[in-house]
Amino acid sequence: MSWQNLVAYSEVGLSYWDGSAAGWWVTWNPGRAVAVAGRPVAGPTTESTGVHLPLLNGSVLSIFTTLNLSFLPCECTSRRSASCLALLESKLMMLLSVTDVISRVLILLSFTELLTLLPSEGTIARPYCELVGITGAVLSAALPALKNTSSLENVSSETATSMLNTIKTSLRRSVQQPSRIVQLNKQFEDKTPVSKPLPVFRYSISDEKDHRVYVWGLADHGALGTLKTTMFDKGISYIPKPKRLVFGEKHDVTNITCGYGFTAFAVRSKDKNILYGSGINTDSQLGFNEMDKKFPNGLVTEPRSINLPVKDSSTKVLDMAAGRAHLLVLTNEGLFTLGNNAYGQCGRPIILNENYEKSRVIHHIPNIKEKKIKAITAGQDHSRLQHLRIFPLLLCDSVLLTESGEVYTFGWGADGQTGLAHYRNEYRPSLVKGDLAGQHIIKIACVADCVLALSDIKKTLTQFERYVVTDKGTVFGWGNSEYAQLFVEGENQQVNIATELSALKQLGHIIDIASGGCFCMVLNIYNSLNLLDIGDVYVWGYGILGLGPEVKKVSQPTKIPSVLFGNNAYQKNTKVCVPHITFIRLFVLIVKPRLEDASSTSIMKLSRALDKSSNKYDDEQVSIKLNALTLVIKIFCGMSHLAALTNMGDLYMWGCNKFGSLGLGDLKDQYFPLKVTVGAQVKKVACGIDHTVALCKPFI
Amino acid sequence: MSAIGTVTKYVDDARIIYKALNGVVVLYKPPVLHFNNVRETVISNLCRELNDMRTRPPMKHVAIEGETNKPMKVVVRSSFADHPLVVGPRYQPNDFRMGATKIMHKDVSGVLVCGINAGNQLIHKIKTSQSLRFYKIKGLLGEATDNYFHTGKVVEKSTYAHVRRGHLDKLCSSMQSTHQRKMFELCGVDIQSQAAYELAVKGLLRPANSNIPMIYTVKCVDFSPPEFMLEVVCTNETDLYLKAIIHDLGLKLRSNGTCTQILCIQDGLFNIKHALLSKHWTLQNIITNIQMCQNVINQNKNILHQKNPALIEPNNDIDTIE
Repeated sequence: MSWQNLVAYSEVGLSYWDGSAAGWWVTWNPGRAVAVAGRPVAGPTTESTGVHLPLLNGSVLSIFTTLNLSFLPCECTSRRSASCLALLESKLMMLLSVTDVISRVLILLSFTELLTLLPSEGTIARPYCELVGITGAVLSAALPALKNTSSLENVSSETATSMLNTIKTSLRRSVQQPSRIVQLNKQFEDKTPVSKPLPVFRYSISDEKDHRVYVWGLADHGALGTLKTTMFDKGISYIPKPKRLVFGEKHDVTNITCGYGFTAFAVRSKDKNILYGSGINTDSQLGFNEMDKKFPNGLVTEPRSINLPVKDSSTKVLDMAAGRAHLLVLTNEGLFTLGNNAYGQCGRPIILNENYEKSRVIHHIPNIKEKKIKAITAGQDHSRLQHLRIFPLLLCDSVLLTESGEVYTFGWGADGQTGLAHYRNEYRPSLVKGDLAGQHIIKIACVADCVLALSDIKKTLTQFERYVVTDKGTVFGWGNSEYAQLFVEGENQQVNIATELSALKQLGHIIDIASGGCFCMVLNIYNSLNLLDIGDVYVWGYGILGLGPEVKKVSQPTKIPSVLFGNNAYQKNTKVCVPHITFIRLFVLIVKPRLEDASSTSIMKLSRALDKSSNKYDDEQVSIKLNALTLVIKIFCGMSHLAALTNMGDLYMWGCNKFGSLGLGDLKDQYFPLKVTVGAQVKKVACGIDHTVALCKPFI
Repeated sequence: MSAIGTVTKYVDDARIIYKALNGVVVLYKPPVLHFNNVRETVISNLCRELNDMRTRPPMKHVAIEGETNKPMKVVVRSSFADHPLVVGPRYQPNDFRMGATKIMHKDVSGVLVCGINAGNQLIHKIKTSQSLRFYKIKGLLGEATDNYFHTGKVVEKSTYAHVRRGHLDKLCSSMQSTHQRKMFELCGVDIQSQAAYELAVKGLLRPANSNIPMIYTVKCVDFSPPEFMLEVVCTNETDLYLKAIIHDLGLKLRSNGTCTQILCIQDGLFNIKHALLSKHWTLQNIITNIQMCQNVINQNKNILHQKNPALIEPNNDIDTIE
């Protein structure tokens, strides 16, 4: 909007007023702020501008209105200006309607102030400055006249002066306005950002006790505890990659176990709900619950509580084991068994044609011959056709381990898996016969019908404070040996009595065992005096063993190369000098998970002993030891899939990949160990038939 | 090794030296400089020093002078058309070609394996053999910037008091084993085949595609919060990929991470001990370095012609080379 235009617009107003009776005109003077001129009328004149103003006839205000309305349509470029103009207009209208002089002055005042707030951007600014100027001039001319009018008599002179001062200030502001607006127009380019201090975030970290539950495999039967975000293959839903279970976030899960299509979760809670389960519940292996009505076909598709008849609410679940269709739960108050008892696998007398559906029976075994039970294991039948499970058999056995290291079994014994020197079923927990006598057993492994038992590594502390291993970890086995799992020769494929597996003697000390459907796996260390020696995983049996696609059957324990468990050749190349104390910490870090039974004091003694012999280890040796950091510390077997856990919490799985139970993201069988990408450190894995559940800890 | 350090002959002829300037040279690239700046500096150094030596004299100009009706004289003079003051210095930047196994950006420093003139063919072979590079990467906890490097604008800040060395070690080991798993999938062999198993047993594999970054080792070698240092062995990496590792680690540690330094300590056969510092980018040192690198390459001929995806460990003994 140029000056000429403005003049033109005001001339429109002028001509309008010329035509009227009043006959006022307005002239614009670009050199000064503004000048409003008019025909002299009665009344005092101001010395500064020499403008004569008629009082209270409304003409001046009418000029404003005209002016205002005249550049409304062409000047309203932005919304803000439009709203301001609207406000202005309403103010002027108010002014016209009010007759009282003081109110007029006040409204005019606010009108001036409003103008100072007016839009600064673009062409609209300039005419508005002029408008401000007009208002100012009008006011300054009007005020002395106002003072003389009779309507101001009741206003004290002080009030009037202060009012005048206020108006003057606002006028000064309005005169200063143009320069500020010009500045504002420039500021859009060189506006420096105001630096605010950044907030320092504090992200949440996990609690010491926090656990996560990851599930993968077949989801249709509900054993994964979720049916959401599954994939479909021929109408069967499955989860091929580890999926974090919401249940694990809401409950404090401490232990997990997987049976044939069902899963049990032990949780830490203040009330008696310490056990939850999901999956197949056809034989009440997950107990009876009224809520089950909402689930079809006897499938519990999300974890729900299993009510155990415990007396005390502080009772904790110590161990769990799940078989084909039965569940064993070991608590402080003894052993509870649920589910199918057709072969006495629940430890109670067999009842012919017992209906297990919606059964409320939970059997309680408080102890065995006054000995406390330490660990439990359950097995299940193993179909001869690995991929086609068509035998509707419910064949199981259960193994108990007492605190004194004795093994008791009950259940189905057709393959001799009870180890009681006969092939009959047995419902009473009975001591396993054979080479086991007198041995202190620390672990039992059994998924199907071949049972392995591991004896303790006995350590004695000599006077030189060095450990001397007096007894090796020896492995005993009994049960089915169809695939030469127990190294038996000849026609006899069943071993019904515990036998020492002498073929494993050459492997040194065995520290972990696992037995699957048709294969076995052990983990050894060569020299228990120096526990840092790399342990290796050995497998034998039939099926996918982790030795490549061409190896189907192995009759002797064969090593799976440690390279496949993440051992990296390039770690050797970089030498790291580590202070000795760090080495000891690492030593404890590695040894501790290896010897689960070792108490912390013995570890302290061990590290102290190492400290004394520190001169033996120079820097280079330490660095070499460091490189052997990736070690398998635990091994697990499902019916046809195998798993190994390293000390860094990495899970490696291989074997038959039924419904994605290896968690590798596809349905292809895996012929050598491959890492499962779980987003946390894996602490325990439970392998079912076609699903897997892992208990993990967050990294941080 | 005997060839290095023993003087066989003193040469002051730039032409002989120029012919010797064919081969691989290992430089230590300082940070802030881009590879192009390094190349410019080295080539201008070479040109200057060669021009200072005894260079080729101007070509001869034969003139037959004298009056035509008398016996004429044949005069041989130096040709002004070939005079250095007319055609410029004898050795100019255009006379040198210089490539590298890895175009290093300005944030990265350390070993830079370059080829000079005919050495560029070797560089190409080394590049296609996908040799491993060893990096030391420094990170800073508690800050995140918009370009993942400490030169960027800080966009987020967080606490890091809860971070322990163990957390970092666990995450690094998890990252490493996951990359190792990816390695089997990227080596170009069907994972279910016997060939895949045989390769897996051999150890580390090179990715079939030279565009996919592959990490073989990540480990924390120093941890003094808020700073930490990682040692990374990788191939096909980019500077941004390494910076992103630090960034991701920071997020996984429930904090933020910014990369403050990327130092390459080994590139394939060549170690940081082989590398020439910028003050040593002189003709004499570069010639010596070319000879030494040639020896190292001769000892590891098999590295340059690899058919198998399995990684071969170089058999150079770093300690014997000064």
